Amino acid sequence: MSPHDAFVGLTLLLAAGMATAVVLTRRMRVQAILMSVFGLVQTLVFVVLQAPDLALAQLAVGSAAVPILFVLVINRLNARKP
Amino acid sequence: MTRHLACLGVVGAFGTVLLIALLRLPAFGTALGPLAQFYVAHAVLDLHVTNVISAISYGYRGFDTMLEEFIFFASITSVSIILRNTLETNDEDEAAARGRPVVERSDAINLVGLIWIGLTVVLALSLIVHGQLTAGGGFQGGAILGTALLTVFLVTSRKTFERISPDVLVKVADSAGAGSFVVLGFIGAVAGVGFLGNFLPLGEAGSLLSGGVLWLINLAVAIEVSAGYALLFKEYLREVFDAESSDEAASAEG
Repeated sequence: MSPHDAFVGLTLLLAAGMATAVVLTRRMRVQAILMSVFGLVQTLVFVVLQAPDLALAQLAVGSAAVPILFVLVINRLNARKP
Repeated sequence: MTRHLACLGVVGAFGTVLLIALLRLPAFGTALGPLAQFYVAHAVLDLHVTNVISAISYGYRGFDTMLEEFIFFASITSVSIILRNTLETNDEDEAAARGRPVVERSDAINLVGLIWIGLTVVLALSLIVHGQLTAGGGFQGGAILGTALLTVFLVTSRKTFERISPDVLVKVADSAGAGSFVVLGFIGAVAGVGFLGNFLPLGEAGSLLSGGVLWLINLAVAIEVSAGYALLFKEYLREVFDAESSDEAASAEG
């Protein structure tokens, strides 16, 4: 197993760990932040697998746009609570 | 307990199948398939474009990308329709001012935000314009530009965000970007080179004005994606902040 394969495996394990952390977190706002970090880790996976176009798209979308939308929705839901 | 066992069983089954598939994938660095070899060999020569991914997305498979852009356009339009609320648009200024608590923003955030937004916008524009040359392209640059616009909201206020992304401009840009893609295709069809065919001089591979119609498609996609993200954020912000206050008004009356 070459060093590159080991590195790929390491980043994939990191992604799996982040995903588990997102799922097992209780509080919604913390989950949104963790989703942003997970997007960052996915970007790392794409970079390591030599796909820079995908990494750029994933960085913009998964680390910034999607978590902000989630936080806005969470705020909306919390504001509705009595 | 049985539900947990059932879940574990399903996860285990899928996991085993995926693991077997993963282990049987060809290793990194194996020879490219015939189609990939064709693309790599001909993208630079035929299309005068050095970013092979852009050549495939906007050139060889431009039709698929056009329909993907329509998926993006349709999803943002449907968000726009579903989140239509009863707040009149001439209340926007008041709503925009009301939507943010009066917080004294620290100088550090202002400074860092200003620098960061400036750099991000320059990076986005560079990625868009050099889409046919290096990694990046219309979609990536447009998404980063949309994110930069949202960061303006995060760092300053909703009022500033609404001022730099007026309703009419954003909606026109979104539609114009999506429509230009199709119009460029039809111009190619009318000019006799087929739908989305190239009808412009190709230029020299590696220079800025190369790729012909591919570069214009790149720009159209970038405009559409950045305007689409701006519209999406505007709709979400309107839903969160203005619907809140109309909820309060409704509960105060009722």
